[in-house]
Amino acid sequence: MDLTSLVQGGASGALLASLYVLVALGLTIEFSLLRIINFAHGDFYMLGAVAAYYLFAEVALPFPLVVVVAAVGGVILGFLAERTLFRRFHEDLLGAFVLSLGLAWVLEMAVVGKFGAYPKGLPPVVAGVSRFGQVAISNDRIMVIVVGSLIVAAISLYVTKSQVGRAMRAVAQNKDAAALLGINPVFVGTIGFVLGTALATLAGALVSPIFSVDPQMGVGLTIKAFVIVIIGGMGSIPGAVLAGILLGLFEGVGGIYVDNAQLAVLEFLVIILFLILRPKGIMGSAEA
Amino acid sequence: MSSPLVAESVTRRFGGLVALQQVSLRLNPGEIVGLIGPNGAGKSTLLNVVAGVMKPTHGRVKLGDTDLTGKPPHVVAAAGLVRTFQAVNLFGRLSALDNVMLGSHLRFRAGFLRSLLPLNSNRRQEREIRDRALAILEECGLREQAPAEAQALSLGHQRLLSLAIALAAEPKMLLLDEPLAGLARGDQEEVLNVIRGLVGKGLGVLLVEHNMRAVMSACGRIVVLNQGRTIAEGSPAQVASDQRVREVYLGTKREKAASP
Amino acid sequence: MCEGVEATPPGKLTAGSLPLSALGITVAAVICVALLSFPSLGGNNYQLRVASTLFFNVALAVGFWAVYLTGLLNMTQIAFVGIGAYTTAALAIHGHWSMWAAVPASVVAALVVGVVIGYATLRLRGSYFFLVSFAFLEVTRLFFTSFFKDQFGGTNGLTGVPRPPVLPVLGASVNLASPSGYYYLTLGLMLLTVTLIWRIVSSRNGLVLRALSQSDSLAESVGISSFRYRMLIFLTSTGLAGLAGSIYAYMNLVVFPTDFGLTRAVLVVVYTVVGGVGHILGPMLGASVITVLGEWLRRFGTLEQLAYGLVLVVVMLFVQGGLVSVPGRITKGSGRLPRSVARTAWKVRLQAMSSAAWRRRREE
Repeated sequence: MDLTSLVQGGASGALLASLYVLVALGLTIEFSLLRIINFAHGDFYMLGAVAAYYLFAEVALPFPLVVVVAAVGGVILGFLAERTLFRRFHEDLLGAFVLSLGLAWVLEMAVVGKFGAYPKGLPPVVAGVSRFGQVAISNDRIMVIVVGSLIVAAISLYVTKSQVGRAMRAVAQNKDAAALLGINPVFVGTIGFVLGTALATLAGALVSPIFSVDPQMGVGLTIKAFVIVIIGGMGSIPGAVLAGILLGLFEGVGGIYVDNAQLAVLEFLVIILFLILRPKGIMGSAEA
Repeated sequence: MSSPLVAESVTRRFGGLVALQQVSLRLNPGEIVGLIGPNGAGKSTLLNVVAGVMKPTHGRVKLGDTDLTGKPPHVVAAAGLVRTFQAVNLFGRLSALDNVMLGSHLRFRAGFLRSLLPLNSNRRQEREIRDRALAILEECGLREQAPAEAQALSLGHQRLLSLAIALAAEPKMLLLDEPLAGLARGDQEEVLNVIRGLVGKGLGVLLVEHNMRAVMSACGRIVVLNQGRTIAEGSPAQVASDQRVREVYLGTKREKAASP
Repeated sequence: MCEGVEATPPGKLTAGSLPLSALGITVAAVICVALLSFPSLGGNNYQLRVASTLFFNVALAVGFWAVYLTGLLNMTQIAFVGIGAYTTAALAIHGHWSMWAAVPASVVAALVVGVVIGYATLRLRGSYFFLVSFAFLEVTRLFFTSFFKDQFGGTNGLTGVPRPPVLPVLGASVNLASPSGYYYLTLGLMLLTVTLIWRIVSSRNGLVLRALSQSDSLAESVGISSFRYRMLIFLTSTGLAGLAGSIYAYMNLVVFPTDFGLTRAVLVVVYTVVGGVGHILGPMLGASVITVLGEWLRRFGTLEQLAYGLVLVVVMLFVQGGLVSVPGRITKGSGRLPRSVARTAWKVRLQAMSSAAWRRRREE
């Protein structure tokens, strides 16, 4: 085992970790507030990336603006999706699952119609490569890791310190008790859904210069994000952050030694064991 | 039928918190024992330990010679120890009759494969279960409600239905977790009367209840828990005059009186 | 969600076991005869092929629904179809087993794995069970993709499953490896599945299964082992899935890991939800309608998936009882089910919905 490839693996792990955490945060917030499993979450991420493709590669807006526009678009999209579709399915596992599947298919096919079914790449945002000894990391990757970490930190701070964040945790723990305290669980749920969606579209835009953009890119990520949500303890934000980092590093470093499919089998076996032995995840959660 | 339910020095800890500390309890067939105490005294924990929902950290639970310590709830129920729930807990989308028929599962359980065959004996048994369930509903004053969906019943009827389900399981001992909570006076009497009727037939009843008036009038013996310990046990009169019980229940008043 | 199911009238109290009416038996018999004679009445090969797919899908949907009755959203079913298919293919190709040995072996293989998985997972509830079953589906697919590549062929799958034999039936011979042969194989699968599941859910044990989706704790308190009953219905569904997989291998003569992935599993959920979970006719109807619809949409290429998605969203938002609830809505102009269906309708939703929401309402 040589150090260079280990560090290189660690760097790609860090990149994956920032992506995973951003996407899983939204899912875990949605689960904790609404008790739904949203399979269209990865497709919101995909929409963010597709929007970034048009705005950055074709309209040539500055990249920071592209990311902001994607996030704002996510807010609007999340609001509309929650109000028109998901509102009736709070706490309805099967209903929300099937509904979100339908939504996922519609979104994917709509994008295939406009964007095409094949992957497209974006030009680099910050051209060039930084070298650390023998390890080379592209500047775009460094940008994603840094910006991603900052956003995750900001969201964690928001959820722990702000008034709305406190309301969210109250609803996540006990909806009825929260309602008695004058918190409107439906309203808080909407905020959580909007926040989650915006995080997904933002993540999509942010990583679009690195991963190629295609209509199916969200499907695998949804599954990964669920893995993280489970391991972190369903509904736990610190758990999702920790599990996302662990999984990202595990894949980044593990990818050096075994092929991806075998890695995935290992991962899933770990989850199954996790769910059986410790269904509340590494950090535990409010759900009984 | 003459085997008592015995909990021997049951201790239950949650992490560092001691919910029950060496609590012992004996319930004989044909008596109603009241279990009272302020909120957080450990009543529910004791009930859950006895019913098999929680395992005790130490101590034993026995019904006659059968050791039930740490056995899962369905095994405890099969041994003749049946409990009801504090919150309304019914098969809400099934009819009241279906609810009671499910209660008699232990007596009439059908082999999974056997029940698939179109046997006459299956049909006969089914009729028997239904007749019996109807009789139990009648006994609990719910004959009229038999076809109604359980979740559509009034709260009083739901409490009675819970009792009917438990009775259908033909228990030797019945553990009732606040069966009167939220009921109007008249409904409370109705439920209490049903319970008194059962005891006449040799059932032992453990009544966990907040309503002191009801406990005092219905129970032959009362056990008082406070902070996980038994602080008093005896007839209603003894318990009512017990100094420590008065302190627990009237503690705030005494303190006020003591302060100048 | 169509709360209007009437209570059973007092005169007709049942344990959920419906005395089959003479009409019901007649209708079922007529349908069976019609289905059995369809190939000889000149159904063309295309129609026979669509019919086979339809029967296959109906069997899967009914098997899924049976487990769903107990409150579990079980995504492992397609994994067991895969295990059955791969067992058959591997035994027939590498071991030269005959169909008569390979089919039962596949059912047994599915059951053995099912017992292990059931023991490990059936104590989980709600979203936890759903996600762990989902994970098992992925593990199985990836296992066939990347392990034992010599035996299972990796991403290239297993090709060259020998054709099923020619059977002598009543003096004539039925070539099982023909469109009509496959038609009968899948028809048999469907009839077996529907009959078995129907017998179970309409027996007294069916009442127990339905009770489990509403309150585990109450069921346990009267001596019902929720684990045992979930295990029994899970294994029933799993064994049928293994059988379906075996037939799948003989129909397609090749098996790929991707045949047993998320898409197919999700489609089974879609059949069930679109059809309606209130009655066994729901998954049957849903699977039939969507299979035919899918066949028709195929000519529009990628629009197929878009249409599926739209159908799903529309059904979820506007027809929440599923297709089986539609006739009742039309005749009564409300969300009520028709009386005949209502009497047998078991409105089952997940525990979270039924007990939590309902209890909350109670407490208000």
